[in-house]
Amino acid sequence: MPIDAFIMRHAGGVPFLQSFLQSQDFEKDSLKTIARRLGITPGNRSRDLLAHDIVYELQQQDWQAVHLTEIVRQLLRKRKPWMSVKTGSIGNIFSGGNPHDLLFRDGDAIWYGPISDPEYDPEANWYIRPHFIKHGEVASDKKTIEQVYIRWLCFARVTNDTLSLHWRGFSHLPIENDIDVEVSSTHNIQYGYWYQVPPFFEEIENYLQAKVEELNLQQVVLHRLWNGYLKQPGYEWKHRRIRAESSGVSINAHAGSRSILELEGQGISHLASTIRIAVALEMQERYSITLPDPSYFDDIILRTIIREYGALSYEFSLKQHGKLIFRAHSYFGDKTEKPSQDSFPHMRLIEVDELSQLAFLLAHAE
Amino acid sequence: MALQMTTIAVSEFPWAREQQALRTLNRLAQFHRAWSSRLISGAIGCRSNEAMSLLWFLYNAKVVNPMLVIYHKHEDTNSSPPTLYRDFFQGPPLLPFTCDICGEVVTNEDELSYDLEFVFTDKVSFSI
Repeated sequence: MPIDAFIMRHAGGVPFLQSFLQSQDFEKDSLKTIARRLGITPGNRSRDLLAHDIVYELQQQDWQAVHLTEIVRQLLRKRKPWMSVKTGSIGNIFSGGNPHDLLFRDGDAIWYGPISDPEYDPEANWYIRPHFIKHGEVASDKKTIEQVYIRWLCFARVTNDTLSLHWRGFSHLPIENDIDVEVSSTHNIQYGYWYQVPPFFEEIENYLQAKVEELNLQQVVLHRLWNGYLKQPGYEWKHRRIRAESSGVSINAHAGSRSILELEGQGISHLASTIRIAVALEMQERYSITLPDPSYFDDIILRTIIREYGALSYEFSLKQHGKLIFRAHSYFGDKTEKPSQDSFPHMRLIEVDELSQLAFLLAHAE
Repeated sequence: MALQMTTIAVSEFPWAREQQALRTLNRLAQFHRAWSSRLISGAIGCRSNEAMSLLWFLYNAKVVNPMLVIYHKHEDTNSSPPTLYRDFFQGPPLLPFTCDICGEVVTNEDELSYDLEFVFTDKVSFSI
């Protein structure tokens, strides 16, 4: 199965650009937009044919910078579900590498940019940081797994008072050398972005002379948003997942997207009401006491599980008048002793586009 | 032996002075014998480092003991219970040792992750 990342199969030049355009780093609609700007009618062309025709037309038009910039902007617009945010003050916008270089070769371990895209994100400057990851891929002889390199891109969004990093995740087979298929495990694992994102923050903060602090996700998500929207008229808040550890007990409650819980529209709330019903039945039978106001007790159980049990991460969705406005899994980043998914605050943004979710989050930050 | 009740003034922590935060601290003290920084920051919304300052303040007041909570990473689960608790000042365990959860011998430090919890030695109530 193809992996959702750009595997570099060419050293550079035109073949590199063509394979990059064919990769999952671009939406097919983005390729169509680029094609139209070059005067190509995209029609029903496949992704590969679009990439081929774009490269051909770029050659015909002498690799004009305006077209290369358009490709970089389309690269920015590709959905990047993962995000980590810091706020404070930004000292200066620095000149990094020319982002056009990333179209024709692997690039260096530096920040490329700034890149502006007034149509997509008028308030921000963006930078791109490539990182190279070893990956094992079954060779054409089907007997060996050979080592190839993935180029993973981390994007920095910079405004006067916010620095956020954005990236796409993927799974891969990390290997050090070519190995036999038979002796290998072809089991792909999640790429450990937690090793790279914190040092990338440090790097770009130095270049930007930024004085920034991590967004306090516990405060924003579990308190400001919770207090502001949960059970408010016109809004529908759904608890979707909680991972917590406290006093030697781990909780991992997850309402799957196709579960009966989801169909009933209750998610993790179902867990709380199950516990409450069990207690209420026992109180009725044993003490003849009727538990008043069931939803109040459900809320206390939910509050205890989600806010008062040492949450590692929490996912919820929020609809306003039936329209989804926010859905994110927040990792609070409180286990800092070793790099892991729980070692720095970040989020996985789901369904709704990332810039509107970022704006919503920042509107509720300090 | 019944634990004795100690009252701790937390007025030097600005985030704990609000009535709501104080109420939450007192509620947590009633049903959690061991506290971590994320337990406090999740319940109150303060920063993790602010919560950690309070925990060491409680240690200084001799009402909690810091414990190192040691987890053995298991590939098949996202989270699993701790394999060991140790006095924080004893540091990590010597390798190898056998994981109580999966029965495997742990030989590599990379297989472990750690947490810090503070276990109450007294019943505590908070005031400002």
